[in-house]
Amino acid sequence: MNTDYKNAARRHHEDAEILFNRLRWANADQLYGLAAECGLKAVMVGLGARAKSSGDLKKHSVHINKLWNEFITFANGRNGAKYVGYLSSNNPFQDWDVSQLYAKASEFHHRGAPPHPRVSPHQSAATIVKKILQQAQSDNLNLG
Amino acid sequence: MIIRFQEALENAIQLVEQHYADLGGQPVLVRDLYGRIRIALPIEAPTDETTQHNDLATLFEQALGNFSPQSVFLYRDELFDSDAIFNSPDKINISETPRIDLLDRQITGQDWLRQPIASQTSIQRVTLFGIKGGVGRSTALAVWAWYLAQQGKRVLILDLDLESPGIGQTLLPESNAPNFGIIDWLVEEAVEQADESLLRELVGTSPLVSSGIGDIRIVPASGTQEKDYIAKLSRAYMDLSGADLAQRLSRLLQALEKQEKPDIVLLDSRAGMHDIAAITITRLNAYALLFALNTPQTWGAYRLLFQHWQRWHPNLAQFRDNLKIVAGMVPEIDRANYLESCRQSAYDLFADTLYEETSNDEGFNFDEKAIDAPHYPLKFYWHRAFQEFDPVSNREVFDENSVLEAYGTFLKEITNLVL
Repeated sequence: MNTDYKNAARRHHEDAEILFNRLRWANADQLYGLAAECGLKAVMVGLGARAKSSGDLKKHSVHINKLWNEFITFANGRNGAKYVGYLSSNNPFQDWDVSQLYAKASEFHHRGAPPHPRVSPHQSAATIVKKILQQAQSDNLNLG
Repeated sequence: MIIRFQEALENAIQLVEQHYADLGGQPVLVRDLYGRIRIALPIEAPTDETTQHNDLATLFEQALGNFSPQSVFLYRDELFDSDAIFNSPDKINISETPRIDLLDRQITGQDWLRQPIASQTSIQRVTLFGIKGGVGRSTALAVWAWYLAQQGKRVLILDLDLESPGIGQTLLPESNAPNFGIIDWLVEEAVEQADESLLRELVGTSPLVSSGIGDIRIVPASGTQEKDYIAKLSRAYMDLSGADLAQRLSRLLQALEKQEKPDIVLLDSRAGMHDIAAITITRLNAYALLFALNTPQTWGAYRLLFQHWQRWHPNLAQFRDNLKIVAGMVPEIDRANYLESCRQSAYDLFADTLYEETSNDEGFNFDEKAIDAPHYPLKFYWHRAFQEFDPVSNREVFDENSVLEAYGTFLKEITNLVL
């Protein structure tokens, strides 16, 4: 299968929202992280990133817990600056890790309605990335 | 204690030097758009949580204050596009031993430090620039163009003062003005329709020269069709994927040179430290005339720019020989003293920044009184006849006596220098 960051970002985000609304915290959280990763990678490719791994799905090893900071240091010039402005300098996905997919659901236990102390900040951050992606699309970046 | 922008980098360099052996690889300091500094290392992320890197990160936080990022280290294997850091063409070497590089992310102004763009044409280009406005730059350009055309030269002028356009109107009456201008080329090129017909409709011929083989061809900022200039200007500086603004302007210039086959191209640059100026002075292989009034604010502003070049520029040698100061609108009274003071100020500027300290004749260094030195000013005089300069409606302004009085030596000297 081929890489399509833009499409992947959208589907992960949509599914994350569905799970979040059903209080399925653990998997919602996983998907917010993946959605944000794909969204930022799409924009980076649009801004000229040449990732060696593109094309090969098995080689994607950089996730949002690292990518957030990389995006801030990557973007430059007039075109890149406006996207960086959206991202807080403190990576909200610092406590997210792809290996958490192996964690017990009870690790995400939360009584009652949102906000969820761990997942809700990730939801907000994923929404910001979604906005950046939309902005990049309306700017006509070639998102690959 | 608050750490300010400039202290942050100094502190970061110092820390990296002190702890170089603990880094595990050759560091690139990456300063982001906020000025926060990270250390990128071409190694795999250490697996041990208690490495020396954690200690160094703590020291970094203390030494950089708000310019310290949340995560100080970037490791090659944790980067999506590691080449964007380790192989970036904007990377500058700031220390040889130990080897430290800096990658300074900026929103604008990167062109001040980038390499000249190779050109397929070899036509002489001259940029006319003033760090401040009101120095008589555009009038001098018009008079020089007229002079060159009188001598049988084909002169091509580009109005790159897009925020304050003028040379087009100065030299072209409405009836001679082309339909389009540079601003149109920039927005049309962004959607891939800057074709040959557009290029032909960018250029108008000035009626100021009506005989002989010489002529003045002008590419104004906007054309006669203009209805929405600001809407275009607000899009003009877009970097396209694969071509930034400098490369786009170089492309335009080469296409025009091919079409027009001029003997010389004069670029009217925007004043001040703007990207257009950075491009026209350092990246288009042009001879650069730096206009100046002999005022502290003029030399102070040039100094800010020259210090930046001196501190960071990896390719200074590729354009520093092309710089030349021009003393503009030299006052009528006490000319000799004015010019001497001007020369001294210009010398101090160059000696403190770009000139190299050498004990012999090698290296970039000049005597204060060396006429061919970049600091030694060309000059033209203030003259009543060239105020409210409007040669299209008042051709008599090119009266031979007035031109010679105000611009005589300037015209001769600059023409000898570049042609």
